Amino acid sequence: MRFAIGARRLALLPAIALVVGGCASGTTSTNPPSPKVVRVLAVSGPETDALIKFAPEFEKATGITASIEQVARPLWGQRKVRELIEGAGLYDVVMTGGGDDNTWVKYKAHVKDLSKLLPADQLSQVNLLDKFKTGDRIVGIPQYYNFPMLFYRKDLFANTSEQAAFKAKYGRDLTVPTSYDEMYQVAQFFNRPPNLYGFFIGGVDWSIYLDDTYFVYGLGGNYGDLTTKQLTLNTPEQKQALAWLGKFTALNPPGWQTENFFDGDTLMQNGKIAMYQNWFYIWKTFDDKMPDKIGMAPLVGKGAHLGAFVATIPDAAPSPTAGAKFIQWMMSATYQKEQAIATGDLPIRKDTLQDPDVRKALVGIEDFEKVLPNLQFNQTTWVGELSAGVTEAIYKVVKDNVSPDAAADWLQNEKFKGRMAIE
Amino acid sequence: MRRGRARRLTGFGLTLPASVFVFAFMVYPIASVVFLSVHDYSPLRSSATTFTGLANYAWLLGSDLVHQSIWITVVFTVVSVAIELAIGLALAVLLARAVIEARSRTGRVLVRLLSSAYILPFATPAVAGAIAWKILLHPQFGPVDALLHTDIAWFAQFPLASVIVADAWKTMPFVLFLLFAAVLSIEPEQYEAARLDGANGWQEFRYLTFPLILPVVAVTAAFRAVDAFTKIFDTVFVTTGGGPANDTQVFPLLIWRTTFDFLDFGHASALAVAAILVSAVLGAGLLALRRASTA
Amino acid sequence: MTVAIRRRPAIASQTVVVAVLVVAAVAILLPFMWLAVSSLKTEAEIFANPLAIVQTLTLSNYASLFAQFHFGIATVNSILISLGVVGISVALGGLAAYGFSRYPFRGSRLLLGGLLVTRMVTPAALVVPLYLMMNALGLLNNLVSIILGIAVLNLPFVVWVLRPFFDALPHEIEEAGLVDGLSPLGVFFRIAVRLAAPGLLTVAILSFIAGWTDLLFPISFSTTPEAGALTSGLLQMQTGYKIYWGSLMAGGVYLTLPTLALSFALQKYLIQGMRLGY
Repeated sequence: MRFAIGARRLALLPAIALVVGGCASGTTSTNPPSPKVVRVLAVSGPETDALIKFAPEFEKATGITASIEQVARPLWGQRKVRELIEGAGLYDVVMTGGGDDNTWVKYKAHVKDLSKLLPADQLSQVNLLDKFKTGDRIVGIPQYYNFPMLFYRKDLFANTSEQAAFKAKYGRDLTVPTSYDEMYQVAQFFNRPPNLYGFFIGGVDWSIYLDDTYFVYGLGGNYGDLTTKQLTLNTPEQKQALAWLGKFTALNPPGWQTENFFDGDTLMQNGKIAMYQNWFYIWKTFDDKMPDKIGMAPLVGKGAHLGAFVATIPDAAPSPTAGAKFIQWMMSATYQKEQAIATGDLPIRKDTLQDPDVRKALVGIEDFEKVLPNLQFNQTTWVGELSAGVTEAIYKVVKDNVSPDAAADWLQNEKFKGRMAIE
Repeated sequence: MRRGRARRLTGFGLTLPASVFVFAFMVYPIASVVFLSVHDYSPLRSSATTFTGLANYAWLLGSDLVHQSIWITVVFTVVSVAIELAIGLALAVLLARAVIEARSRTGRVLVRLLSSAYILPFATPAVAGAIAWKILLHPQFGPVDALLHTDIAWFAQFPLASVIVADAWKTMPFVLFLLFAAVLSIEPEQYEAARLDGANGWQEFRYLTFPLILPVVAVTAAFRAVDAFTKIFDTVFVTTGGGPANDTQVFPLLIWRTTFDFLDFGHASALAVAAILVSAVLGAGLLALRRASTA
Repeated sequence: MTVAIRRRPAIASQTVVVAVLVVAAVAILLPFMWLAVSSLKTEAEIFANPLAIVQTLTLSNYASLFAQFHFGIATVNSILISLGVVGISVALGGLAAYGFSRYPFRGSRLLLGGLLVTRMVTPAALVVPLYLMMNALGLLNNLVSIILGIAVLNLPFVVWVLRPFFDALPHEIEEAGLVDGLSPLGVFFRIAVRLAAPGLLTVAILSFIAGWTDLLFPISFSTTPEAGALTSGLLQMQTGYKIYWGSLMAGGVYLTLPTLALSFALQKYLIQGMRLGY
């Protein structure tokens, strides 16, 4: 008898849950677009939190409600394509990724030309605006700038006995490296397993691809040529990058193959590694917790990976004018200053960069300014698939003892045979 | 009761709500997958959906990466399900035994505590469980290596084995509880008769318990196999990321990457169809065990 | 009516059984216990001292769940989702399993096979089509879509697993019920459900867990915190630039405890269902 009643009660449950669940949720997506709402597609993270935090200022100024939605990172790629290539028309502003989405947004996406929607005096304040242009067409405006830096054990470098030993061994002073050879020397010097390792590179594909870009851009290379539209995967720079990856991963702590740069943060904080490369965002944490232990310096080399969320307006946007107003607010001096202080990211505006409050909040800003002009983006339209192939090539070198030259040639001539940089 | 037609109609009526519900939502996804598997649709390259016949399947059959992934996943499925079945069955039988024998109040509460403990790995969200294992087995920060005074990088040196352990830990309770319910459903009289016939514990299990629960074992194993082959993802993604060098790139991970990172829907759909076929073979094979009980 | 005649087993074998069960339980609980202990440590301590028990007890990780990661609303949402999934799964699934078991019809095997096939479609292939469907139905950012998605994948499992439980029921009792004038539904609710209670309760627990721990549908159908679940909240602790380890540990523990409590509570009925016999 007990269970008969239970079964009947259970039968009510779905009805109740469905009704309550349906009422409990927020707006649905089939409401007709109203000029009073701007719909923004973003991905979760501190920068989006900043947008949400300060959005009431936008709403107060324009009378438009900002609906900032956050898609989970694994799905972000497909959603961006759905809005910008397939023209789904659900959002007015779509945030794309700076370094790796740049080329396909320029060549394959259906986005509005922002030079026609934003005031010229504001646009002129944006640093590196040319990076987001094809001809005179502006495809997107960055929300902030972020890029990788070199993090090293300041305390070890400052230690006098270490300095003496280094000088004795290599005949020069122990300084922050400014060339790859110097960096390798320092890494070898500090490689003292099992307590300290010279370097760290996370081996998971999305992490090791980033390190690959640091070397490739640093050496002055890229993955594609925008003029010839060819892939450039076995250029001397690419081969050299693979060689360096082979050398530096040999000085990694065990387990690196399945770790990523987040593990690098933890390894650095716990004193297990001497140097590693990571987004400068982590500098805030290091500076707060252990300012004398960890130092930051620009990456060795000519170029650095451009990190940013870049705001675009799809051609199919329901309310493009609302979208433009949102972007205008996002690039305003007020918001850029608030965001820089809140997140520790670099503002996009030239004037904000000179603001004394911002300069005080962003410790190390002088080093950042040195890197800013050299930011690079991937010159192919299909970075997802490309990075998986690059990772395979790296492991050929690191695991299967294939020479860097052979691995690079394999990548260009076999793995991606017949493919173009711009497809 | 009424026979024949009326019975069949009743069956139809009882099963209709569930069937309609499931197929209403699954018709479009399955049709979409089959459709795209014979087309080329890669929006990053071209907005056109071009019919390509069996080209995607030809690619799949010729790709070393795909073969590697399928092989890894088959090994993973077989070993993982075997471990879960062995441990789950043993613990289910022992637990049922304890339940039957528990007489005192404390005994009964102890049994309830134990059974609730066993459900824990399955109740832990996949991401949290995987992170726990990742750090447990961490060469620099993990307690296991600290205890053993070594720095073996378990996930890097023994990737597939470590992933199997982490996943079997997570899903074993699923098997355990289903088999537990099955054992509990055996009528006490059957045990009576066995005892009176002088059967000991092992004989009781082999000739009475196991044959009676075999249908549930077969269905549970089949579902575990299908799930292991088509859904193993979170654990691998968090612990090894598919590496090192694709050594643990299980099939669902490859399909996810092809869909959401490469945005190559044609290839991804062909892979999904292949996944259905392989898991169908695994599932049907395990279901065939049911007939063994009636033989 | 059953236990009195049974021969009492040797005490030794009973102790061995309990000992094995306890050892197994401890081994199985170890990763979770480690998670729980770590959740009370500061992030720095988690990595600095792997083997140490908590040195500076802190609840800040748990506080962050509500302050930073919207766990308040997510908890309500997850509860609603899980209850919805249990309700649909047990009600529709139970009826269907009973129908397939007792009243087979032409094509029922095909239908059953079809249900199993739906379970074989890998999640990556489901996300986009189902997202499009839910968008067309206007159910994005609405818990109903999540409930439906999880239930659709859960139902085949429920139907298939419950069938052998109904198969094993003796026909005589049901025949008696029919002779007494009960309709098939009456027989189902009053007789079959009670007899198949262990199976039904177990399936209810497993369906709750399916709803509670699902990650795929919350991330596919929800982009706002108001419509988010606990699992998607957990994912947000791994942003592009930082992992909130402490919060992740606390979140993992927080997510596990309700199911534990539910299981503990339902175990009583499960075991009693068996003991009652008939």
